[in-house]
Amino acid sequence: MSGEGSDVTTGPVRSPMRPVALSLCALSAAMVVLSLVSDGNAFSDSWWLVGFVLWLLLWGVLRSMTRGVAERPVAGLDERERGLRDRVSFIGYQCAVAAGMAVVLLMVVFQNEPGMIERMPGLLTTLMLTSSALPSIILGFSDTGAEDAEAGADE
Amino acid sequence: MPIYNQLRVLRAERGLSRVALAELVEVHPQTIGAIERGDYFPSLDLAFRFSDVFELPVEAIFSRKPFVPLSAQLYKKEERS
Repeated sequence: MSGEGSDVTTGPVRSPMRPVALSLCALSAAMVVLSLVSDGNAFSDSWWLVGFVLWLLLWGVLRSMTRGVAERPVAGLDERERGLRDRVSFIGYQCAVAAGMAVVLLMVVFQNEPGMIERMPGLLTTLMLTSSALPSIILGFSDTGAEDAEAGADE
Repeated sequence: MPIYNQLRVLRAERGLSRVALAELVEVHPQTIGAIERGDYFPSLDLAFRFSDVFELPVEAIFSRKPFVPLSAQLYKKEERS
């Protein structure tokens, strides 16, 4: 066990982690909508592609910010961090399974509508991207580094 | 059921910052903050480490019942004497 500083808390007092997590969440929701309303396959929709590039950038930033908990070896995490990582990983896995099931359900419901079936690869991709980013998003929202730094400064 | 703790008071008494206490019990400073806020309840192992650091029994640091504020304890004592 180690008390080494994680990257979750080593940022400035006003940690940008929550705004980045919120932006990634909003962008993922917008991409889901785009993949459902795009004219045919979302992969040929320029707005979806722009969203995807932006999504990759935001995900990379958030992933880098949360790597202290997300990527550190288990031996380097304390008991709270281990529990937190296990919980967010479980939530991400459950959401990925649910996303796959939702797409299967939509394909069954709209099996006679080729236009809707054509949108499914884009939708599935978007939902899988969102599920894979969900652990980082939750870690970003659960960051208390800024509050702790402020509380520490008050003492 | 919540578990109340005296960590903030004990830290203040000993002039320990969250970072210093975190180093002594080998956890991340955010974990100290989470315990103090009541967002996280420590394991028995961690509770004993706090006990060792503060040289107090575990029940003096953690309790199922809210701790009486020091000011209230002092005021009552003065009233009695």
